[in-house]
Amino acid sequence: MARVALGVWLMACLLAPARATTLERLSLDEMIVKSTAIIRGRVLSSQAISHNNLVYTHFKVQVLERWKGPNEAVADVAVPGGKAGKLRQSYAGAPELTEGGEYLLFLWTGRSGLTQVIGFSQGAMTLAKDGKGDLVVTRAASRELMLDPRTGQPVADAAVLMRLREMSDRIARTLAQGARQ
Amino acid sequence: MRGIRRWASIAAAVLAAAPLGAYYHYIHYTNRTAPYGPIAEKFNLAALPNKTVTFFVSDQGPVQYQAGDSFASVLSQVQEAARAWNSVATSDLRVAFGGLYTAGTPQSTPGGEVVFEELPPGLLGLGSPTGLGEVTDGPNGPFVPITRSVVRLSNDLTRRPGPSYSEAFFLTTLHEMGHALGLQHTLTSSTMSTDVTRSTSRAKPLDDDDVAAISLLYPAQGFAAAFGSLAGRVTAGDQGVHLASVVAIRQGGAAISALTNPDGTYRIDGIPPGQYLVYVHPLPPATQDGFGPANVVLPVDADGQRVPAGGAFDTVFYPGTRDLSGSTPIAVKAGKTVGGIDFAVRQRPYSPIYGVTTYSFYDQTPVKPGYLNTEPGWGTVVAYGAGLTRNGEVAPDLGVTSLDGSAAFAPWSFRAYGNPTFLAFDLLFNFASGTGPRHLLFWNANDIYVLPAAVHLVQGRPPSIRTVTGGVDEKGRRTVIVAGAGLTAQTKFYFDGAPAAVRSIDVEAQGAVLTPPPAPRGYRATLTAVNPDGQTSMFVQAQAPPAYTYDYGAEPAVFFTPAALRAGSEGMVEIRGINTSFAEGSTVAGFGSNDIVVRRLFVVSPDRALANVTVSGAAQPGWTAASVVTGLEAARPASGFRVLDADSNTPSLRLQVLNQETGGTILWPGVVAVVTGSNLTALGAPPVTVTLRNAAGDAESALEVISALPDQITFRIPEGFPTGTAVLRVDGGYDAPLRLALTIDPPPPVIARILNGAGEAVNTGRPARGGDVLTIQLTGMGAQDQTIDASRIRVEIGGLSQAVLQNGWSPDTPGVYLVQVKLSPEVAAGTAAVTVSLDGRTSRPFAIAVEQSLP
Repeated sequence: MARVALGVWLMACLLAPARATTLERLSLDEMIVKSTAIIRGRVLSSQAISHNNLVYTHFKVQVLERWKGPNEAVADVAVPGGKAGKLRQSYAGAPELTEGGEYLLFLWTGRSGLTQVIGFSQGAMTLAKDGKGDLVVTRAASRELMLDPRTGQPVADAAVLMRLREMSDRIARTLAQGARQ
Repeated sequence: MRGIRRWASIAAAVLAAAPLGAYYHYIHYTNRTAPYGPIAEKFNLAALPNKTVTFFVSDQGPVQYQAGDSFASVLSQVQEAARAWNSVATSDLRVAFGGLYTAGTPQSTPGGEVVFEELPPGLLGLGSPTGLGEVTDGPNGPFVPITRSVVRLSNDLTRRPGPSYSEAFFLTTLHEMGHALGLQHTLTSSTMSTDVTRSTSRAKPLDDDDVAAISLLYPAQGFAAAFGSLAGRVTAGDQGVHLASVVAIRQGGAAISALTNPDGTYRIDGIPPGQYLVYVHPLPPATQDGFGPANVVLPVDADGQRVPAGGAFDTVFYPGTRDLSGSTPIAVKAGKTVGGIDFAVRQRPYSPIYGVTTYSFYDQTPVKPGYLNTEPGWGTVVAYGAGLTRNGEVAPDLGVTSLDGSAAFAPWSFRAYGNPTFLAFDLLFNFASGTGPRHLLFWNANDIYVLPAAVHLVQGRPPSIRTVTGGVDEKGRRTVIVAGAGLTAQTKFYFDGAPAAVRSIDVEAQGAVLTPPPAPRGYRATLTAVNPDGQTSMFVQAQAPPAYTYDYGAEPAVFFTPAALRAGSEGMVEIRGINTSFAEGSTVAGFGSNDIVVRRLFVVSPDRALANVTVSGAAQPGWTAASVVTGLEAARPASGFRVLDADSNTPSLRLQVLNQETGGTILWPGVVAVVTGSNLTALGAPPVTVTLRNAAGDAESALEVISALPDQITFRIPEGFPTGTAVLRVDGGYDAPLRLALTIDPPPPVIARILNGAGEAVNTGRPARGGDVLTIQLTGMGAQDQTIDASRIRVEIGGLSQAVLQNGWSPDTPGVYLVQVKLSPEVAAGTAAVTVSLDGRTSRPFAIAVEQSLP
């Protein structure tokens, strides 16, 4: 029992682990806060472009609903990888957006102006209709080791499955909390 | 029955036709139905200079660093990562660090790039090969050529996996570089596993599965003969299961895996000989619909469409049991394939246990994977993964054991705690537990899960560094003296990512004397001690790592002469340094482009080096980012380096100078040599002059030109010319003399006499026979006080290599060296030529008479 208690204490005081990951887990709330845009959109088209030997596939996404970010009708979302001319690059875990597909996207625009999906595949959630015709947001749990960026603790990454209106409420609540702080 | 025979014949055809078996790679299929022949993306070795992929690092480095971190540290880690992949002897691919480059530099020669960019939150690094996606025929079968590869790291090293001097940054760079070379994820806890299960370390950066993966893609001669293979098929019902992972695992040793083809067939190559358990398991689920499981990039078919993976199924050991005691070990032999290792699995909707990560603790620091000191007799493992806990409690019916029985699970020790919930349990050790990686088997009522190298058993605590003191030795050379704990005779030390030369380690006093890698004055390097068991000082000192600040030296500067070469030309570039520390084997000179290749770098002194350089004919005219890196010292010529337009009328030399007598490249005083080129002579031009000047500059000779043709000049190296690095200078009234660096070697040995067992000279009257012990008397073997290891000596008689029995200086005759061999019976009767080579310098043949061997 003493060892268990010690273990609990240790876990509570966890410092950054000696080793790290190539993916970092973001909670839903963190994605909401860290995103520069959150949209529901339908993919209109895609085009892979190579710049300095780095291939990005640019997806034109018709913005159907917006919770955060610039007021634009079409968002340009860049995902690493794709086939540009004869050049082809593939990155494991890169989100794949299908033309015509509808997604909930947590986006991040950096200083360069490039808009990407936050957390690689973490920020891309599929939308589908349930039996009642309601839109449901889904994303399979990631099994990449996820670290809580605050504590460095490994964290669970739960599958996201909720109705869109519940997600909408959650986003609004989190944004409002952030605005009040 | 007919169906089974049909599948068997198809499976056999697949096995016969498949150019690549084990799936570690980016795969293309050229057909949509069985039989499937997976075709991998890989570099074309024939298109690479010296079969080498050179990684250049973008000169637009990271923009944010943690305190104590630096771009030089980043470069040192990239260099170490390249060195690790280059160390695989069974791979024919060489990997090199090329220095800096400027993004956007047009390049035609295949190679790699490391770039730093703004990555969105949640993404720390990625790597990928770049190719055209077109299948090409190669000597080892069809493949899809990689044209360039890219490793993309965050430009903000205040975020993980930074700081750059950390093991995390090194392993991330190593992992992403593996992707760039053509490797995908595996689940054997090797470097190419994701960080969920990765169990490699700076002490052992590459595991057996990594070695197999890169060797399978770029096999060196002898690879297949040195390793064994397993093959079979995974089916569910009568359908093949695609992307099932089949693992050959040795208790306490290697784990090698492969993924199945769409028809369920598989082949695991590169297995070190030994006894293995074999199991099949489904990959962890994908993070997004349409992804491959474990985020593997799905293979593509002939239409470029992704081929979907099969679903989850029961994990079983061969021949089909969850019971470890019921599994059948398979003996793997070098050069042999064991076929028919088939699995019939039961599909299920999901895998209950997967994605398990293990930890241990040193004081307050968690370490992944777990390192357990066996000296106390027990150790605590903390694990996290799907299926280990439920609702905050230990999952029902959960059990764990080590695969080889070296550690016993203490069943009373299972406990769950925290939010999210972790599982902790104790392992008990005994005198036979040994040390090294140990595989764990987790199970519940209806599933098993194997985690290779889940924990590392060690004896003793990790190393730590208590004090760091700069000093100077009796010859005025800089030293760093460290005192610490947990140091062993094999402890290595790193200054950021650059290894330090260990001059001495006093295990009893727990101290070491190091030669620090070069760095400019004021540079602050973070020190890490790494033990061969994988433990590092960062286990216990990550929050306040020891550092060394260089209190000597100054900012380095380098100058290149010439500062330009033409596309399609070869030549020598002299590199002069100020405040530099050039060192043979450590210094890397790069010209910012894979189209400009340093064929050889001769380090003459700490401030002078000579680079023989080839510029591809496809190199684009313009400026490139040249650099010279030695340890933590990096310098760039102020004006960069320029590629000029190609000009077929300009005189040019080829770098290779040949010994006219031997046809080889070893030159010594007195020999006639040939250098080739173009436009070396012309009507009306002054006669060609050739001079040779040694690197020290105290010997220069105008050489006898035997013949001068537009494409070839023949000359004699004067007798007595000093050995070592020299510069050959050719001038025929050119705009500028042509220069190249070369090495003047000592003359080869000279065979004086060959004696038989009776001490008599072997001749036609006293021929040698197979089985006779012959003593070869040699001169020109160097200084009498030198001890020559037999490995440096090669003896051939009649074209056949002869094993050296004994070698050493003659006790009777000064200057004479004796080499004793036993004449092989396979040497043909008649006159046989005897040659002796020392370090590749071969004597002139010495003829002896050989008689038919007695039966």
